[in-house]
Amino acid sequence: MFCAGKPVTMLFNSLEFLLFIAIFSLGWPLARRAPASRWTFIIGCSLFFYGWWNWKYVLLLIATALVDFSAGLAIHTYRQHARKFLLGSIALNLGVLGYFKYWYAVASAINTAGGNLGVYVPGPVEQLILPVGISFYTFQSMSYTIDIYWRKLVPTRNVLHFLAAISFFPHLVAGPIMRAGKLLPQLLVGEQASPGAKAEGVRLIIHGYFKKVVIADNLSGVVGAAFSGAVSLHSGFEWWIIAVMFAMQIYCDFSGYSDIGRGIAKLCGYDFGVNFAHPYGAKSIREFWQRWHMSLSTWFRDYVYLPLGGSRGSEGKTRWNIVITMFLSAVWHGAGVTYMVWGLLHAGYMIVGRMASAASIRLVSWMQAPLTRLILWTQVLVAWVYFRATSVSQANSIVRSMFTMRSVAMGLSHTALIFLTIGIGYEVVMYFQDRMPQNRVIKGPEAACLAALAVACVYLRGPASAFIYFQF
Amino acid sequence: MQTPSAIRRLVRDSWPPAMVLVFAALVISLIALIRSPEGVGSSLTREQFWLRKIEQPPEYDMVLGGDSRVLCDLSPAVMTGVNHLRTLNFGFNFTGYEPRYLSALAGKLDPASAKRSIVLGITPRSLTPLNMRVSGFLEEISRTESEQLSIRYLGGALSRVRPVVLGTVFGELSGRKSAKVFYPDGFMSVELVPPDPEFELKTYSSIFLGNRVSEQGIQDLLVHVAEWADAGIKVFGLRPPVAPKILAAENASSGFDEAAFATRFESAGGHWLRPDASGLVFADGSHIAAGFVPIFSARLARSIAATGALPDMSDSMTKVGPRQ
Repeated sequence: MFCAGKPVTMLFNSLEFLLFIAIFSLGWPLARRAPASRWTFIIGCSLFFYGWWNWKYVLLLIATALVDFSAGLAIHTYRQHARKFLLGSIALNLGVLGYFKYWYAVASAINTAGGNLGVYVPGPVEQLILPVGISFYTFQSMSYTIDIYWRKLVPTRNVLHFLAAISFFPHLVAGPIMRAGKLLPQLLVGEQASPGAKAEGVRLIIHGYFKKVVIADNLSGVVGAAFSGAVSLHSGFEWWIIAVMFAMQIYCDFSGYSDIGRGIAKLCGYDFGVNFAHPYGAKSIREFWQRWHMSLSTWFRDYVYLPLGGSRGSEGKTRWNIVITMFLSAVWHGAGVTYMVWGLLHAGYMIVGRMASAASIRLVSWMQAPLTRLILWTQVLVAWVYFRATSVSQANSIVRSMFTMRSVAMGLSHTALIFLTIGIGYEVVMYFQDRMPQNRVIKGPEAACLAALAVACVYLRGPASAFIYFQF
Repeated sequence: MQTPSAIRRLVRDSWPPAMVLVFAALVISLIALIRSPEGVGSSLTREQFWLRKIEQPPEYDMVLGGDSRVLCDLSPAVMTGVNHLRTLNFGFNFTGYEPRYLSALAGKLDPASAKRSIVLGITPRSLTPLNMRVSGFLEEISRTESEQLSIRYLGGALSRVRPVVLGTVFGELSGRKSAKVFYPDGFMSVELVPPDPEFELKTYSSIFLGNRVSEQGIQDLLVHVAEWADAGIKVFGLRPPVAPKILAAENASSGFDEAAFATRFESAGGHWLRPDASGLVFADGSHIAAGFVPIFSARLARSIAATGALPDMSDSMTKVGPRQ
């Protein structure tokens, strides 16, 4: 049922989405006034958006959402059995996620191992299409039942209300992972967005598209070609540049999607919160994770790291908790060993950071800031190589090449280097501009800049591609 | 009920975001209007050209297959003028001879034609693992239905808002102009003014590192050649000509042995051709300059005729002429 075919939902950077959003914008002012019409309209549009390529996935989304809705009510109503309902709901969510996301890898591994041992293992194993956004909406749904179990949230008794929150299309397929406790109360009201919120919405949408179609898409060609070719095609110096390009690509791709989603929500009068806060401007690996994909990192903090004990126990226990959390975060991205190495590398960085902090290792004051940033960027870039590489051995070869630097030859596309420069310059400017208050009204010079960015989105756009995080 | 001052404030605060979008739309429209259309002289936009090629019905006597050296070097119109066969150029950028491509290629032949023939442009690059995995053909067949619809019906407008290619802009600033023209018979001409026979040299000096010609790829291709030959399809092969330095770079690093390949190609039932390539000018070293394509295409058509593999070609203009 879920094998083969094209697995992509309606992309924010597609003509059909522009048509879809135009129709949504016409209907929203009428639908938003009453709760029932508002939720029905959101659900209808969101399911249409999600089922654009394959309606069968819509059934899966509705089914899992209905189970969690029922589980939430059951946990709240039958407190004596709450634990059973919660575990049942979690098992179902993780079971569905595991089936689609990890079954192929696990079964392939079993087949291979069986073959190596001379044991017949029935096959063949068919790779399933991963329903787009399943990792995002599953985590969102799980947070709902867990929060009810922890008595942090009172469940909604209206199934339309719950479905609207789960399926709301701006966050559905690639986050931010919206906690029910944050979105459900917002969806109770349908007031017109304030002028400041509208300005912020337009600002976020234009910046989001610029990051995605101008920066990320123009870097994707060089990065893709580099990682699909032989490592020896590039010098060590070039691999550093390619790693920086990928760092910019994945950041602009993912945060661009988040910004577009946040912007659409703002125009509807809702606030998703910040999902990326200039992570490459962080001063430590801990701060990096407080700024990168914040809705996921806080999810793991609240539902994995803190329940494990966080940093309340011994230093050894804390380190173990960090390793488990980062490992699970890596596995959330996929079953590939490269993701696991990426997660474990970050866990290692955090542990070393804690050790350095505990040992009060300090540098000469003027060296402290640049050197810590340099170390951080090096750590992050090396980890990104593992995240992007097609295999651990390829990543090992690249990293070896980066650190041995036997050659400093430079032959990368000038166009890609220009877009990398534009991307870095843009990010530096935005790092400072985002210190200004949100929801501010757009004034003359900023209006001109935004218009210029919108024009650039059309005439400087790179080859169209799906958002990287759709695959998770 | 909002007071007049509240309404004034609402209008004052709301117009900037709206004006941003309106102003941007105006600038985008203005640029679209004053820009030259893509591929001046073409009757198709770039995307329409590719889509048309993919969707061609099976009504050809001869199909030319291969990568950009077939796409840009062989004009079906010129070849038809010589051999009177309904001919389609089915070449795609950076395309390798993988099964889906070979199947689509043969699928363009008219099953009722007595002169079914396939001409394969064999380049080392078209036999590498990278081109088997990532190719212009595979990109084109993976287009979604909505993309196809928008290309078909909004092609002209979309072409007007096509992205600016910075490399081309810098080239033009440095006095180098390039042009492409898209023809309905599948041929795409390339022009670089002034021509630079070493323009692609850097690419061909590195493209084969870790990506040498695949023996498995050759074997798979030859299996198809043998099957076609058994089915009565005449199969011709040639190595499209390139500038001497590019040829040397390819021979040095690709692992492609043309003589050995030609022998195996003929053993599989194909005819290996060595059309005269003297006096040609290459736009970028890898592709024949547009003005010399007719010369080479005519030479190739005569070279095919000279093999005597096809029935008398002088009266072979079949009932349906080539689609234009």
